[in-house]
Amino acid sequence: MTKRSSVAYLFVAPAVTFFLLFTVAPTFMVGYLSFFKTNYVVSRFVGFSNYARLLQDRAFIQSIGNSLLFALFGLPMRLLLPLWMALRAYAYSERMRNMMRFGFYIPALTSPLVLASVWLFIFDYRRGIVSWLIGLIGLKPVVWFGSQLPAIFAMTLLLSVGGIGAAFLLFTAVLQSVPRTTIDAAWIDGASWWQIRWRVLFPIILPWVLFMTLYLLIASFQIIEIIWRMTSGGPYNSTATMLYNIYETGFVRSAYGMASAKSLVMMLVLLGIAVVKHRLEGGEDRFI
Amino acid sequence: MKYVFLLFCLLLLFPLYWMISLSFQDVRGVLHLPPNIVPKRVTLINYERIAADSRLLRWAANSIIVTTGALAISLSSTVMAAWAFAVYRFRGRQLIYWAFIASLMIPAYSLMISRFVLVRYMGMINTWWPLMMMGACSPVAIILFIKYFKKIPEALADSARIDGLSELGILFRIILPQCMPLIGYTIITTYIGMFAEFIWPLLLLMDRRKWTLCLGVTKFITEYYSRYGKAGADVLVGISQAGGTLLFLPPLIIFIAFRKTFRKQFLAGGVKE
Repeated sequence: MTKRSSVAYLFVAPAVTFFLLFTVAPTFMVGYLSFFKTNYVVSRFVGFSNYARLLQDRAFIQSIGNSLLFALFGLPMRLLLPLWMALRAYAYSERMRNMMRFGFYIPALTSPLVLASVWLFIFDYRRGIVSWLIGLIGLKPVVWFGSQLPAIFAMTLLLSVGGIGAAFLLFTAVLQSVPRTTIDAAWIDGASWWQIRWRVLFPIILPWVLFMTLYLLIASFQIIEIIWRMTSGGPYNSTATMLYNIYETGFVRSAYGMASAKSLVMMLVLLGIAVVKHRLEGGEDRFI
Repeated sequence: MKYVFLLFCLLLLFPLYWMISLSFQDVRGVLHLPPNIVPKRVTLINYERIAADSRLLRWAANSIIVTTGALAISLSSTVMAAWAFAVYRFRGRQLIYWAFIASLMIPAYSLMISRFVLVRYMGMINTWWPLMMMGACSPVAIILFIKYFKKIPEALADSARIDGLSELGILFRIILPQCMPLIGYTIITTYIGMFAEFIWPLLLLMDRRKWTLCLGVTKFITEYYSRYGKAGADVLVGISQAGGTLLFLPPLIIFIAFRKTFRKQFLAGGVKE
């Protein structure tokens, strides 16, 4: 049913207004602002000089590597583990699967910021339960938030608490939509469960695995809350993601021009990834 | 293997449990090694400390106001736009639709700086308006509603039109009552998402009295150490667990209140249509 009616303009007007105000205008403003140098009060047109200085910004360059580390650490925890579990759970009873889904739902519902407090205590060097457990087996405890890799590892674990559940829910949902007849046909042809899992189900789920990989990559550049709460990007910017670096530039040092230039770089990099991800989702026929 | 998986579920729930259990213990209980998995003595001292020193109720009320406002604005604009796309043909329809889809590919936080500058330019810093309006146009939600509307029989709207109901009346009195499951789902996800929102309140709200619950409690914890120094460090452990537990309450309450909707959602395979 399609009607020509001017009342339609009235209906789309609020959404379009908000869209212009908070998405379209800021998108153009990022580019515009990046040509200015801002010092608390004055702002002066400087052309491309922000971009030239950006290439020498050690902290910014380093933030790319840090973000990639978050993605790299996240991959086995937040992607491969739930994938493997979902493939195994396919053979389980309905009841069992629902119990697992329920068990994963509450952690997936909890924002990482909520758990940040208990996480800092669990990984506390002196009083934490992890240090205590490591001490029990006679090893020296690790200063978790004192250097880059342990800190990023601990924070990735925190993100995984919810992330594992979310990915598991997605993967089981995709597997549930595989028609029963496909599996039955494989059975009749004499395939074992192992073969069904890796030769039939895995190819079906593969686009979603790629989709989640790209999602993880995009999200890793934009981790900010837990870094703000747990390390403030330290020690020496070694745990600052790209977004945290932008936040620091813009809001701690008030260099909006520079921060905009960095934002534009981030936008262009992630946009490339997002276009591929969008294709994998099936264009606008997306189902999540 | 099954039981290993169930144990793994429990392991993921452990930090949450432990946070709650620590929040009900005093300093000695919290720092006790080996750790008390079940609290030996239950006390409310951590919650009392937070309540005495902060504006907890005020922040909670603020959160409810901001979230409800955001929900009212976003739900009404989403529903109307989706209805227009589903039913009418108008000039610019394709263009707007493609702009919505294209905007999904822009990483959300790359607009953090420019949105902030824009909001400051409009003089809306330190108000709740930008928080309520920023998420008002959600292309994902609009697409969800378009798909839902297309499944509703056309005759329903047509017969109402013949009976002389206005176009707005058709949407709000005839169509929307058919969409309650999707509306319920949208309300739940918006509430949970907005309560957890931290960065935007942090950037926009300077006035303590306007803080939301998530911002207020988090800032209270991070400022506690600088206020009381080393002497406060041990006390802070219990207090931050109590703060975390307070922040866990809103999603938990929503989960319990709407458990039927959640149940339907994950029995349906979690595929949101």
